[in-house]
Amino acid sequence: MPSDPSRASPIVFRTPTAHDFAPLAEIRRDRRMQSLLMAIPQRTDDESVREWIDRRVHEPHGLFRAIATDDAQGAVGFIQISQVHVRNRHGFGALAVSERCTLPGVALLAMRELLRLARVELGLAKLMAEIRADNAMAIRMNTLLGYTIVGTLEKHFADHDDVRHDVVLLEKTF
Amino acid sequence: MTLEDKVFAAFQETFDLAEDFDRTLLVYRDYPEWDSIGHMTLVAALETNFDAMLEANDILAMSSFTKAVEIMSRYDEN
Repeated sequence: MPSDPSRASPIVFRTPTAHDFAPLAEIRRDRRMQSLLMAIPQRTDDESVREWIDRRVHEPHGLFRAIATDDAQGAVGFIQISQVHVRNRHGFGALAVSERCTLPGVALLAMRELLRLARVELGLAKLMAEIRADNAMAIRMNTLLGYTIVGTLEKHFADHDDVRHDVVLLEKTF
Repeated sequence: MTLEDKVFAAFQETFDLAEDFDRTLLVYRDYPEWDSIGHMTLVAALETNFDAMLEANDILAMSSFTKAVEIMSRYDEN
């Protein structure tokens, strides 16, 4: 059974560094990805992207980590936990991985880390996710990792073109 | 059951493959079903079949059937 400490993981989850700005900005400026993440940024100039990263990093009781496979090349995505309710110990988890990342398993490892951080680092009892109903891949990924579907929020998200989408609410209890 | 058969069983379960499927075609992103979701399902099947938790390095390196057999040889206790 392998557990050789010299085989350090080539993937790390870290507070964003200067190396991560460009790839995170690329994700922030990707309209299709942002729509799948159900975000419609009003501005995506450098200053706005910096403000977004700063806001995420300093989200009260939440967390934001860049997913990096090589320190020199910067992030390939991010994981985040937001809207944490301290008393009830729940929050919303999300992740994004750049389509340019061709390594197998990055999304799986990122999901596992997201769940670990929610449970161990933030002490949450439950993590929730809201996913566009047409994002079958993300829904499948979440259910494979133990999320259950709570229900569908009808016409819950309006995209860039003001087209409304159903949103699936999922939860995973620890 | 050989190690290769045991690994192939996980691929069969994940991608619904016939017994005589050409295993050399099983390459990440080349085989259409083997995308990030397919990979997640495959890892889950391997972990179940081998009763093991794969390390991050191994999950990231598993890019073909051949590579999977090589990696899973380290987890095979039989």
